[in-house]
Amino acid sequence: MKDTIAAIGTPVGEGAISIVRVSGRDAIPCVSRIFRGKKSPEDIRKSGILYGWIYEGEEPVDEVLLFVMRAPHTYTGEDMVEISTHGGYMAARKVLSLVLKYGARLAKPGEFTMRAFLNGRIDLVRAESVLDVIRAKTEKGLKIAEQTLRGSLTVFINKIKERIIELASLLEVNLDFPEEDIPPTPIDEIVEKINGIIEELENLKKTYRVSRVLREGAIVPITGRPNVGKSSLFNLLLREEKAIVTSVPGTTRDVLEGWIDLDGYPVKLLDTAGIRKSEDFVERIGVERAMEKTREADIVLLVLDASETLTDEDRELIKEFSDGIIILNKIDLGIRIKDRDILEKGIRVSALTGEGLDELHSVLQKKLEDAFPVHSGEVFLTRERYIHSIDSAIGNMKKAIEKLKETGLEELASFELNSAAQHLKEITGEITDEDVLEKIFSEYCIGK
Amino acid sequence: MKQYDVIVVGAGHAGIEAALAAKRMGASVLVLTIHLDMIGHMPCNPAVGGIAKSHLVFEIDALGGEIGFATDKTGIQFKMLNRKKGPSVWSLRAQVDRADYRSYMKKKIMESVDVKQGEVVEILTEGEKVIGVKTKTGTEYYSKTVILTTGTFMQGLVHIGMVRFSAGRLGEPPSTGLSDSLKKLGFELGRLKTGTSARADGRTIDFSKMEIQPGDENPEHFSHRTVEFNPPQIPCYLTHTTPETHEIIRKNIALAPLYAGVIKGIGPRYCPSLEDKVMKFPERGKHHVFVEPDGRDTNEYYLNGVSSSLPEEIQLKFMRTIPGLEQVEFLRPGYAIEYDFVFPTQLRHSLETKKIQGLFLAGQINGTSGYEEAAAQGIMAGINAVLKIRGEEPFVLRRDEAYIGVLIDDLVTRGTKEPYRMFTSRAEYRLILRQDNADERLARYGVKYGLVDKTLLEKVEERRKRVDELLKKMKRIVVSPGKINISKPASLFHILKMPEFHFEDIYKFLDEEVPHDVAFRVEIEAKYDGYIQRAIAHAKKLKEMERVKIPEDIDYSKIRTITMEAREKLSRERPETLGEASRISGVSPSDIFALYVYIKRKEEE
Repeated sequence: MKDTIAAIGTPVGEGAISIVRVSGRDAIPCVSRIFRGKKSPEDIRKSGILYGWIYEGEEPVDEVLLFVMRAPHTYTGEDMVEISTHGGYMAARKVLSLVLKYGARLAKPGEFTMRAFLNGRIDLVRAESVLDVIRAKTEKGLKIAEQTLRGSLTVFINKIKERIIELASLLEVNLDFPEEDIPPTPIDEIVEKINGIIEELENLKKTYRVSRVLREGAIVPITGRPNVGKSSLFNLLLREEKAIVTSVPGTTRDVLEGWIDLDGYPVKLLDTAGIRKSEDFVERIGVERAMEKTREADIVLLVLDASETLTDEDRELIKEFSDGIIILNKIDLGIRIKDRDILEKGIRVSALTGEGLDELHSVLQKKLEDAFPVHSGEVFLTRERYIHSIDSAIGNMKKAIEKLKETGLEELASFELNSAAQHLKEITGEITDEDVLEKIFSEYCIGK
Repeated sequence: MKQYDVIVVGAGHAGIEAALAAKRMGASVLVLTIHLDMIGHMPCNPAVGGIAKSHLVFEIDALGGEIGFATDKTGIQFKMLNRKKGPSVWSLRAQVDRADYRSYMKKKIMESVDVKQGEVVEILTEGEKVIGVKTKTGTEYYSKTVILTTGTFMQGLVHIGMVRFSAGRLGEPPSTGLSDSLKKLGFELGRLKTGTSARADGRTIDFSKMEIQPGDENPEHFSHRTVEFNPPQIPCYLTHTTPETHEIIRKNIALAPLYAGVIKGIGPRYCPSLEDKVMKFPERGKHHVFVEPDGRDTNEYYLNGVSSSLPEEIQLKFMRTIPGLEQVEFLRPGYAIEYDFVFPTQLRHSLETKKIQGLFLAGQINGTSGYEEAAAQGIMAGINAVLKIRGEEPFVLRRDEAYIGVLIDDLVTRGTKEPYRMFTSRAEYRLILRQDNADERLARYGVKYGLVDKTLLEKVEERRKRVDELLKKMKRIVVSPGKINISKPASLFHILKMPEFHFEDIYKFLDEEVPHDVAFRVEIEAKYDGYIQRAIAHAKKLKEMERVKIPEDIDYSKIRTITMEAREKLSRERPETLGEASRISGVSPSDIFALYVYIKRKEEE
């Protein structure tokens, strides 16, 4: 990592400023060669801001502010310069090309953050949460990403790890000092403590559902038989609620996607094909796919036409998605549904007039809050990768209990506990192999 | 003047193994000792082995060392500790006849190598190479290599209460010039403390008030060379301190040199004096006291667990509050001793010093405690001194190969601040580093370097074959529930894996004679099934790391991606492989990863 890397750190498009980031041992001399101002970046001892111009030979290129930061207290832990150019793509691109000409190379995706990790500035969990901060779609999502970035999960995992090692060392006392009059810790007590740790980890695992929803959005398909007004409702929700601009492409062309921010919960609305029994082969495939999507949903919005009596297909859908939200649409046309429980449960809406939308909003919000509660101060598990490691650790701890209870082979229990601790170390990156790192950091955008 | 291949300074447990190993490899060896009659003396308790230490003894034995064989010959009681736990932590311990052991070792050394009594005061060097040593009387001896095994002798200072005097051990002169000579050569020295307890007159002990601690009924032995083995199994006795004992100690604590601030050296945390136990664990009402016979032809008893450096009369006073010791008379008082040691991070894994070529250090001089730890370093230093002369690659055992590897690696990469004692928990590959497979792990090295007879390796390989065949056979034979107490049909292997079954239970289904040493290993491997494989898989990862060599000319100051602290440590310790680097304290995994990336990139360039 002796080479110096550079990239444009701001998104493409017109804006007030763009930033070119440079990091590495030659970051400062490199920028010094193309910068003219009252002072040279080389003169900055710790950190400072310089005003001046970037030059290509004798040609002025852009008027800039330089943020010069010396190692080790920088984002990457290396010398860094951030060049704040005028907005727009051309100025930044020109400056970047000059930086590249004078000794830097183009950074790979996530390379700045990877360097921060490799330089010991942040652990792996925190490095990964940087990505979550960048990608956060809503306030709640941002909140848990920031919390993780500040180290909440790292601290939690490290504490658990210490406790496991502590338990292993209690066993070691029994093994290494059999004749000394150190009273051995009763096996039951150790088993109880291991069980306590397992429980805490199981609880932590449960938070992953919540963080996933906050990161990837709650999947909320709008379903129902054809012509009940699903698309109108879909469009109404997108129009009336806070929409999220997302670059995540839809996964299937049969299903329309739209994102809304529902009080901090990112919600991915799906407008699915109408569900009905069909002879047509192609349509049947579409329906099957819609059903599949709907079954994977977090919360289902089942739309019924209030102006007609219920059909058999309606009843089947009500049975299938019994825990979904029932929407009685087209109330502007009058209500002809007779079933009392449906009338009670259903939310009366008119996609045409917008009537009942507030109630739908609050019911949906309550459902989201119940299913995915976010308590302040809670530690969230934010990556599937962590679940694998935690599952392995729990597996080891269960084995340890087994060994302690059945055989009293403390050395094997100790081996299992140590393995469990190793698995937890994988989470924070105390133990890493190169492949894992490459994979993690390749997810990042260039410039981060 | 005769030029030796190897000069060994000191004839304790490290010195003996060093000298004999070098001799076995064909080197000419001179041993210089401060006291000719004290070769192989055990200044603390008269016992060899014990938890993790026995592992070292078995390993030394597989490398042709003497400690195991001498213990078998002169032992008076053998006992397997930790029997109730898994086989990886079983540890053999022997009470030894102290005088017999000494005379066995003296004879062995005298018939094997040249020995002279003399106090070495100076290391002779030429440039950065050792060329010999000089004694206090001015005689110079020349050699290609020198192994220092000075034990507690360098600047030794004995404390008994407020009385203190220079001594190497109680009753023996200290070594006074050598520390300065080492300092002049640029070595950094530190100070440690250790202690031992009083020896009681057996005629004044009331054994009827103590619990008898017999040896094993069918005792096992240490050495593969031992053929006839019939130890007398003389018992030890167990008693305990009382609240009165503790009270006396508390009252007189100001007279303990450690607590009075007189002792500057750091003592062993794991082998504390009774003063330490009483002050640090005030809630404990009593501590064990093992009363161990010193030998067959003596009335001397070692009082294990009550080492003390309080004034002699206080020692006697508190000792007489212990059941069975009410009338006790001392033959020698307990004492503490401070001595110089060399920070072992100044050594290579071969135990050669980094600064002076051909100079090796082994034993307590490297900050360890224990006869077995000393012997382990001794044999490795002896072997490596000869390899050095031959210009061959040093013999270094990895952490997954031997406790010896763990011991030396810990010392030279992490260093130590207190007397280092071996524990099974220090060995991360404990499950595969057992006493019972020490020969399987190390005999091939013993044979390779000409330290043991080829037949040992043949024997080991034959046994391995037998074990493997039996394990295979046991997986094939399935037994139904009626024949043995199981709930559904299972293979013999599976049955043996269950905690409640032992080899005796399934023996009848095998329909063949199985010797004890095979049966015993079959059971271990069945019980540890899965774990051994996992441990080996772990070890493989380590091997990969160990294999990444760090270029000798690496300039850490140029690797900016490594933290300042790690850069400093790495520049100072100059590890040879990435594995070593990873064990240096202050070097984090991310430093290692950065270093790895740096080395890889360098290679690609």
